[in-house]
Amino acid sequence: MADLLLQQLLNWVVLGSIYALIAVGFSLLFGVLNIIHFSHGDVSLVAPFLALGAIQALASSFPAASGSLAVLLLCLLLSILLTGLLGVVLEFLVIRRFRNAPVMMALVATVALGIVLRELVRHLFPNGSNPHSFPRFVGGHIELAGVTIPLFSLVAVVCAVLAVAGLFFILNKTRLGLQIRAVSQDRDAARLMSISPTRIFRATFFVASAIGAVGGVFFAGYANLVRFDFSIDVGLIGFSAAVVGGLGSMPGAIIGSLLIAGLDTFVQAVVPNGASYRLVFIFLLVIAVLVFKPSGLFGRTVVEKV
Amino acid sequence: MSTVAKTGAPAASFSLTSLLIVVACELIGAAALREFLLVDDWRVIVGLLVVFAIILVAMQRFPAVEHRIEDAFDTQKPAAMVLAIIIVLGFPFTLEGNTYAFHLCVIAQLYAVLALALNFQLGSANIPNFASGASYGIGAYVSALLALNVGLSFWLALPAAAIAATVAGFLLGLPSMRTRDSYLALVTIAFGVVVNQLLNNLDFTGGPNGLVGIPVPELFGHSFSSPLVIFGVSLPSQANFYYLSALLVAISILFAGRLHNSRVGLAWNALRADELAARCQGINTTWYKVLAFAVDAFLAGFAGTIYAFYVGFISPDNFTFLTSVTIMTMVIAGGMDNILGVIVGAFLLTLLPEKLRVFSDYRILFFGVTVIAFLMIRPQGIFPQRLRRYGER
Amino acid sequence: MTSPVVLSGQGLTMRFGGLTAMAEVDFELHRGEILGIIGPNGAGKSTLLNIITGIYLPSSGEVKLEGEVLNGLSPHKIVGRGIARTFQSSRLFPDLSVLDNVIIGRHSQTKSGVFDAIFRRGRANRELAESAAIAEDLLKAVSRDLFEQRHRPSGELPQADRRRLEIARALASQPKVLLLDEPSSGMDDNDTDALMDDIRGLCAAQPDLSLMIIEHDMRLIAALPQRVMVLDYGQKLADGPFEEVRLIPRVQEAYLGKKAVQNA
Repeated sequence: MADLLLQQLLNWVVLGSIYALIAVGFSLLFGVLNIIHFSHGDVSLVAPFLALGAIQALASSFPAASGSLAVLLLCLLLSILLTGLLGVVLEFLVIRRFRNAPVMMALVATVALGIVLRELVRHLFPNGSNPHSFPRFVGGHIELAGVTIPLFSLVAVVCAVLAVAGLFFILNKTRLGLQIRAVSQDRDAARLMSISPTRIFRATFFVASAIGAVGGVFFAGYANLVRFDFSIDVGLIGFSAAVVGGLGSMPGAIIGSLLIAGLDTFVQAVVPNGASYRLVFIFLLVIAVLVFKPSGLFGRTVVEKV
Repeated sequence: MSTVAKTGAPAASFSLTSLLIVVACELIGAAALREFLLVDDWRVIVGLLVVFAIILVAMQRFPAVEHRIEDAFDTQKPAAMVLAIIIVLGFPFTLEGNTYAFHLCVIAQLYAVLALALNFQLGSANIPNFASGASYGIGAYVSALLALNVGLSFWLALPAAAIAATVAGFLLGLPSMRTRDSYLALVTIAFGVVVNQLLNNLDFTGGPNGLVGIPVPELFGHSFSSPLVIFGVSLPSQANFYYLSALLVAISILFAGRLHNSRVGLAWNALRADELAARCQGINTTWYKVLAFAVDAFLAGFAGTIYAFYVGFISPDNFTFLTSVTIMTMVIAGGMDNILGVIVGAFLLTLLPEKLRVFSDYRILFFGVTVIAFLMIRPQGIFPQRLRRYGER
Repeated sequence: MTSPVVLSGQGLTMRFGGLTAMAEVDFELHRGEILGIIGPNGAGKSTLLNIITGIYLPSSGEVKLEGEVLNGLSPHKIVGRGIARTFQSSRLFPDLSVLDNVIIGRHSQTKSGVFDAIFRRGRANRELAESAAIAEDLLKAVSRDLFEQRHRPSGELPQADRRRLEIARALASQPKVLLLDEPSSGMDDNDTDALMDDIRGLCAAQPDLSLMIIEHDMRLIAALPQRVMVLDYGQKLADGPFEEVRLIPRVQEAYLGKKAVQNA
């Protein structure tokens, strides 16, 4: 019994960490750009496909080296970087045009962008409509205080913590972070301080997309497979976690993720036929939170200057 | 809001030219649509599209032409309406019994209703609603369940389903009272997912397989599954649903027009432009937001019912997030807060993917790109909203 | 002033978290009076307007219109009671026509709803036509030129016309009290003179209408209001005719700083 409980607790923490990696990106982008980059989830979920592509390409060119952990990690790293770049490219091609547009327009445009990304993955990746198996890139277990914990779970949580801590560090202790915060508060004033908002947007997109990519890759590893429409599930949940926590608040994104992951795990474990109903519960929670706290749990209510 | 034509001799030729313009536009439009529906060769279809695009660009370049046509329709409203009704009634006779063409017309008309319904929220009030597919689905499922389990006829199930959908619309509208923009968008997405998942998992809704065997409607002994005989000409059974959905489109246009040119429509537009300023003019923005959801759901419920009884079987896959996005695309591309634009958008985006079967796999991609393209290049849509006129010009 | 008090506030306090934007402010507005509200930036002038119109809920204190408490009513209801306002940044409805903007101002005085619009078309149309006629009259009264442009999108108007349109829109609700928030902001001397004439004309045409005007332009303040209220840091410093108020040292300090006053 205790074993089962522990197992569920572990699931909760791992899932929460993965969702947090994606949610944090949403909050960061909203905080800086004040638009909802709906397609962030879809961008994050491109990473596992890129990784798979890299692995398969290497396997066919250098069959001897493939399968080794080093190569695997290299492919993952490559996919994370490429996804970061993808975020920047999208900013340049599409999102830039909606920087000063009404919110609704930017919203619908980024929803559409997400759809386009998903479809492109489906068409460009060989056999894209079908699920593909994805390696759980860290295998094995370790014993911690008498409990057997899969190494993958541990690594996932550690990576998430590192990523978020890294983000905090960048935002609060580096010059880049200072510039990002300046731009998010007052674009024009920042410009007067010779901070180029464009450069900052690109940098933020890179960081957010890369961190999201880490989340995407871990999710694929957790599920042991990847499908082009994962982003509808994971991406939407990541967005929900960010919104529930309050867009623009990093701690909020993390708390939101833990909340949703907790509910997710609980429903799957306890409710009969829970796996089918998990989305219902999760989104009912989202609706409930937003009804009582329209800007999320820790969201900053934008006070209009009247 | 009719405008009074100027009187006098020069006006007579103005009126005559206007009449000719109206007749020409409507007939050409109808002929083009007919071609589009009947032709199979995708090259002809692309050709027609190119012509359409050229006309659009020409109108952009020469706004005087666009204004002249608009004026023509404004001054000859009664004639335009009568001609339009004649065309709509007579159109089936020109389709040479092509059941596929009929089918497309029915589906396009249902989507036109859905797009007109969404237009209240998206076009008039600028409320993001990603759950219009859910209202559509609720209408379909409620009517189907009533027919299958309680034995209600189509004609009784129709209002019941519309009311059920409206109630659901109100429920969805409640969170809209305090949430805005992205948060509201998420609430509507969440609602859509919840409804879809419930339909998928609950037993009495038939689960992922949905409901089958929905009975065909009957009117005065005439079954909708038998061919329609008018003036000695036998039209395929789809013609029954063609006229039914055409009637619904007409009702929707009536609703849309009357609401737009009313205190309600003005309140929605004010809400769209500046919510705070609207409140300071005495507009109860909360009520109008919820109202928009309810009106959208009402019409969508009607459309859903007709769809369910037309196709005879429904499943949760018919009513997904993508359905909602499709409807949204129709409003955005066709023209926000413009009745004609929305209908044209609906027809275009229903017929294109069907006709360009070659590219059917790319349909979703096409929609996404279309939305982005329009939002970047022409956010008002093909036919942008028009300013209201009162009394004499 | 011997005319009755139409709008009053007692002990109005507004706290935003740790910041006290307004502290224990009292005021009275008499019927037919013009009350000016002045004070340095951030003094709480707009806050006062926002409290009166229901946009902010005061932390404590009461606002009364002809004896009835307004606190807690939502802004749209307060408009219905008879208070209309303009905004510092002229919040018009830019993609709607000039005429439509004013017709929307009639919203609180009209009734047609969804049912009327669809099923009782005649009645809805009559009410709308009536509103349109009243709106046109209002525009004509404000400015013939504005009336001529009534079918243009309001976003295309120049600044002075926008302000006029905003005032016309506010008047459409047939208010008892009209609140103007820095009406001359963004205007040069000519425009301001025209604005002062407009306001004088308005008061002459509607002697029972009471005005509260927030202003920075001292020419306007010297000429129009019978009384002036000075706010600074959310507190009322003075209340009385402008000639008296401007001589009070505390008031001068608020604008010019202590040193400047000492050296004056």
